[in-house]
Amino acid sequence: MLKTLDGADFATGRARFLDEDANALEGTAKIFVKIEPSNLGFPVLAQLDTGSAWSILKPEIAEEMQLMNEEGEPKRLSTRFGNIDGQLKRTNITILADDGDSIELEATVFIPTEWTGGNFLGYGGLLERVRFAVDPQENLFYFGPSA
Amino acid sequence: MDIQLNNNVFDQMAAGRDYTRQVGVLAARIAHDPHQSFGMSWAGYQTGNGDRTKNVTLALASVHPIAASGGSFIESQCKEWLPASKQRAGQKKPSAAPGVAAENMEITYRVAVSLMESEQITLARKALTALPVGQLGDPMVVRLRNMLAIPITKTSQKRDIDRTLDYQWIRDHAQDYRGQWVALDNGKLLGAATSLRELLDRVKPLRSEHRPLLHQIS
Repeated sequence: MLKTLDGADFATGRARFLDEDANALEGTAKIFVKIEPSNLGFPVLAQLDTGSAWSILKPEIAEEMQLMNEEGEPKRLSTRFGNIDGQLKRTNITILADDGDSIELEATVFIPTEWTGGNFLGYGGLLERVRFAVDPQENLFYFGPSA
Repeated sequence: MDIQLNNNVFDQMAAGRDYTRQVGVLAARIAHDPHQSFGMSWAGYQTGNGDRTKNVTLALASVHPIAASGGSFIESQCKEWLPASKQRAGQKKPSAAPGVAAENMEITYRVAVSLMESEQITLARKALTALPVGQLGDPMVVRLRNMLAIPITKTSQKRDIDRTLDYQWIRDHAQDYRGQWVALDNGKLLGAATSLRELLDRVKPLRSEHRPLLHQIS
């Protein structure tokens, strides 16, 4: 796995990512990594988006995670679909590795009331404590816990 | 770039000289916090810990309250610690010291919420550190602190399989399944449904070699 210049572990796991969603209408490549939201029991894809202040989970997934009944922090998020109302909630998500170790995160995610977009891994409350690197030649996503 | 305290909570407050003064006092206190919990003065603060906005300036002018409007956020949600000056006439006025403390907490809470609203997450966290320990137990403060908490990470032995074949299936067949949830394993479609619940009902009884990858085709 990847090392820092001083020899310490940078990444503890890696996974192959999808760089082309079915949404050919937009046409630009994205990075979709595999996550497993707690209580869902299955892997799903989430778009890596360091420009997003918060991570977003689709309401249907939040429903299965039994997050909808928990009290969260009301929030209006500005997205490319416009302003979206929802709540910030604290939950557990695993970034899944194909090789090496996965990472379990206790993270804050935004659960929209209504949302036609996908799942996103944003910087605030989630990626800010994940080291990661991308090998675009091999479509490999390297990652590990930061501190 | 200025921080925009844009959730309008300040605008919903009744105008009052005391309130304006308190905002100024709190901002000054935050700016000169002896423990450097903010480590900055508001003007020209350089964020260096994740916030993308540089040269953050808290435009105090923007927090000056304007004319009152009924049924404010605070009145509806923060009755327990609403400062005396904001309570309706006829309500018992608490002693001065707790009132000031409550007002400071209210202002700090609002500043933190405003910062969070404008995606200044690191600054919002720091704003909450200005609260005295005794006020950290307030339910709304607890909830906000919890939401703003830095993520906790740990490694896990859990693993998935290489999904190259499933990704290829998505590329090849997405146009036929737009809007649908699909379950994929080893490049094969195990099920498709219009809702996640329906798909889970179909997939859970299956005994596939691996847990299928679930994805909603956009």
